[in-house]
This record gives sequence, structure tokens and C-alpha cells, in this order.
Amino acid sequence: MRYSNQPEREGINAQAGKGEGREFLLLGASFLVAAGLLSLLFVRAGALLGPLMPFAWEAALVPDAAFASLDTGDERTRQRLQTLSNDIAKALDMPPNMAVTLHYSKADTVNAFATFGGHMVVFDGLLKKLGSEDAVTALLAHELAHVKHRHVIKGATGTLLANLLWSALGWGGDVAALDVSGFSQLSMLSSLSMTRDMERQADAEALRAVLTLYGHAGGYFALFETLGDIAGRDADGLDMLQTHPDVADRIASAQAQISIEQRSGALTAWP
Amino acid sequence: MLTITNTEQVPGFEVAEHLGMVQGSTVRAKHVGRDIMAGLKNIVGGELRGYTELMEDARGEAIRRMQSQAAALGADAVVNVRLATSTITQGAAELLAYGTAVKLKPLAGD
Amino acid sequence: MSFLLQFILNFAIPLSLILVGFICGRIAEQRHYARIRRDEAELAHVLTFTERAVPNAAAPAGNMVLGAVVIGQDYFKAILAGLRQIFGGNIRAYETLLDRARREATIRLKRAADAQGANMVTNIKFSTTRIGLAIEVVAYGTPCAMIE
Repeated sequence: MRYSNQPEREGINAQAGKGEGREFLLLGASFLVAAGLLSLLFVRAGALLGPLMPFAWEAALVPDAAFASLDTGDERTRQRLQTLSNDIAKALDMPPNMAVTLHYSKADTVNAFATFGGHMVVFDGLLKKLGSEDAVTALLAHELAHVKHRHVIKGATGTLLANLLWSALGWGGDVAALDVSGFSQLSMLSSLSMTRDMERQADAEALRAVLTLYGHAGGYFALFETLGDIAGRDADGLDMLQTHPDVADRIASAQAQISIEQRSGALTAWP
Repeated sequence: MLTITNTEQVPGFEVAEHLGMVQGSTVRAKHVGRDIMAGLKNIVGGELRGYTELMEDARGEAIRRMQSQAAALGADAVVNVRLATSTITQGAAELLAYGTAVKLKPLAGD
Repeated sequence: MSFLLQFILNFAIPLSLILVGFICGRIAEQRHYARIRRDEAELAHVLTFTERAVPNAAAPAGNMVLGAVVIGQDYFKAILAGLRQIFGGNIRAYETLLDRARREATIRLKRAADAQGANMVTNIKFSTTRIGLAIEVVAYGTPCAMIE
């Protein structure tokens, strides 16, 4: 009987270091593309679900009392804003069941927003900077368009579904080695791309409303010049990380939609 | 094909030469879709076919690698084969097959 | 700006960890393989068997010997393995880990047998365990001496 001890043959059980870098780049890129597309799909599919909830249910979720802590401004201005909103709602062909509640705050915050249930909040800080009723109309019309197209609930259900599905995937398939925050970032990018689309839709509606009510779009451009001045101070650079499209783009796309005569006209004073 | 056995002898043959221990190992995983299905199946119980398949594939691969190692030494058989399993990460199968590579000669007939 | 900064931080830190893991892990692996080949050649005279006894050739010499080693992965391997688990297939990053651990354990087993004056180890068995993010491989067997 002969005995020997042969050296191990390399390359059968393991290929040390061979092509690992390439494998990593290939798999990593495929994963990012697949995950990005999935995020986009999840967010957009979620947005389709939101409007299935009747507007009345959405309105019931947010009582007026939720806005009680706002430092309410004078009643005359609030009345004027509400009247403007009602006129805009008609110009925008808002469905009759969509009641918009306007909240006017005398705080210096430079902001205005629409939220769940058709509630809109306008801060005096922004109104003071606008300077004309036309621009205020453009602003309110933009926010009303968000309500009309159910943007708030769409954004919420889109993000909700994407997060739910990502955590389900993370739970089912053990991807613990990969940082889950990466996925939420991808979903966030998808959400942002959707909100920018929504802003563009709201802009188009605002332009239409201003044209209908005043015969020219001077107020629309006045609004965005003001917004551009405000945003100019803390511009962030990267477009894909923004909730809103670039102000210059918003002005340019509106200019492309209307004739030169419609671009300016006499503005009504505010206040 | 190389004879694989988990006994110390191959019937009808005797060991002519010992070539030492040979091993085959592999770590494998199924794609994430199968993992998710398995995760859901774990709620209701029953056989996880995806994972049964995974373990079979991995075991086969480890044995094939062990055979390649033995074949490279000019062996006729691998005797006394054993298998070991463990998990490095969840959802991945880590298989180790090992045995002694031997050269055989037929038993002298009487 | 904080948004952009957060975005960069979320990706820059893992990416640099991956790069560090890739470079350091590869150097460690190459060194380990060089050491394994050297030790294997040095201990080639200790024969290995999975059989319980080698008939007519040897007598037990001393107590059971064992060789154990715990080998950790690096960050690069962990991420690569994670990606591979999504797509399925052989996780080659872990195969080298297992190969190194198994061969190192065998070397330590042979060294322990050699220290007892044995020149063979019979009835060798392996077992592998997961310890945190690392793997442990234990090889154990009975040292024997050739009768001649």
C-alpha cells in the first residue's frame, strides 16, 4: 500500500479575487437600475390608489380645528382671499363637491401650501412680497390645482406604497447586508420626480386660471419672478433633488404656451 | 466517473493507494424572488421547494468539485465521503464535501 | 443644501467602506493564501484520511487533535455577497472565505498531530459554524503513526 498527500488543486473550490471587482460593478449597476425602476413603479402605482378615496373622506380626516393654532390675519383680507379662491375654482372647473377652505395667517413666513381635505394655508409674509392681486390669484390657482388633481393624497399614497413594498421586500428577501436607507433614497428620488410633475400640472392650471380671469398672464410671471428672487438666495443646484422644477423653466414653459400679447398687462393692486 | 462512497471500501475492489483527503465546497443562493416566496411560505408552513432545490444544487456542486479534486490526483474513487452544511448568511447554502481519494484494484478472484 | 449633503453622506460612507474593504480584504487574502501554500508544503508529510482506521499500517498515537479557525469577511465581500444573493448563483466572495478557513483548519490540525509525533490523521471530520459575520471551521481527527 502506498500513501501520499497531494497538494490541493487551486481554482476548483475558489477563484480567489478573480473578477470580483467586475462582478461587483455589474451586479451593483443592475441592482440600482432594477431598484430605481421598481421605486418608480411603486410610487406611481401608489399615486393611482390615492384618488380612489372619495374627497369627502379625505376632508373628514382633517378637521378645521387642526388649523386653529395659525395666527389668523384680519377677516377682510381672508374674505378677499376666499372670494378670489371661489372665482378661481370656477375658472378651473373644480368639481362641485370639492370645497376649499382658506386659512390666512398673518405670520411673516414666506410660504403657501395646500394640504389634505382641500385646506389651503396662505401666510402674510408671502402675500406682502407679491404686490398684485394678479400674482395672488396665480398663487391661489396653483394651490387650488393641487387640490383639484388630488396631488396631496397621491403623493402620500405613493410614498406609503413604495415604503411598504420596500420593507416587505427587505423582510422577505434577506438583504440585510445592503443598507436599506439606499432604497428609501431611491423611493425619495422617484417621489420627487412625481412631485415635480405635479408642480408642472399645477403651473399649467394656474396659467389658465389667470388668463381666464384677467385676460393676460402678467400675474403668473409676477408670481414666479418673486419666487425666483426668494429661491435665488438658497438655490441647491441638483435638479433631481428638488421638489419643484427650476423657476426659470417654469417661466419659460409658460411663455411657450401663450402669445406675446398675453404675457403682460395692467395688474390689480394688492392689498 | 469517479466512484463516490461513504463506506471505507468499494465492493469488489481493494484500495491500492491512498492519495489523501480531497474536499469540495460551495456557497450558493437563490435569487431574491425565491427568498420572498420562501418567506411567505414560512407563514403557512410546508416544503420550501426553492430551498430544497438550492440545497440539492449546492450539495451536487460540492460533490462535483470534490470529484474534480480527486480526478486531478488520478484517483479512481473517493471513499468515506462526508457532508457538512452551515449558513454564512440567511438564505445561502454553504456545503462542504470531503473524503479520501484512493486508487483501486480489483479483488483477486478465487 | 442639507438635503444634498445628506444624500452624499448616505452614499459616500458606504462607498468608501467598500473601497477600504476591497483593498485591505484583497491584500489580506493574498497574504493568507501565500501562507496557506507555504504551510501546506511544510506539513505535506502528515497524511490525512477520512477513514476511521487505516488497516495494517498505523497505530493510534496520542489524543484527538483539532484545528480551528475563524475567518471574517470584509465590507466589500459582504456587499458583493448581498448583491449576489439578490440575483442568485454561486457566492464566490464567500467561497474563497470557506476555502481559506477549511485549508487553514486542516493545516492547524496537521500541525497539532505533528507536535504529537504523528505522521497521519485518521477519521477527520469538519464542522462549520457562523460566528457573527465570520465563519468558523473546525477540523478534528485521530493522530496515528505509521508502523514500518
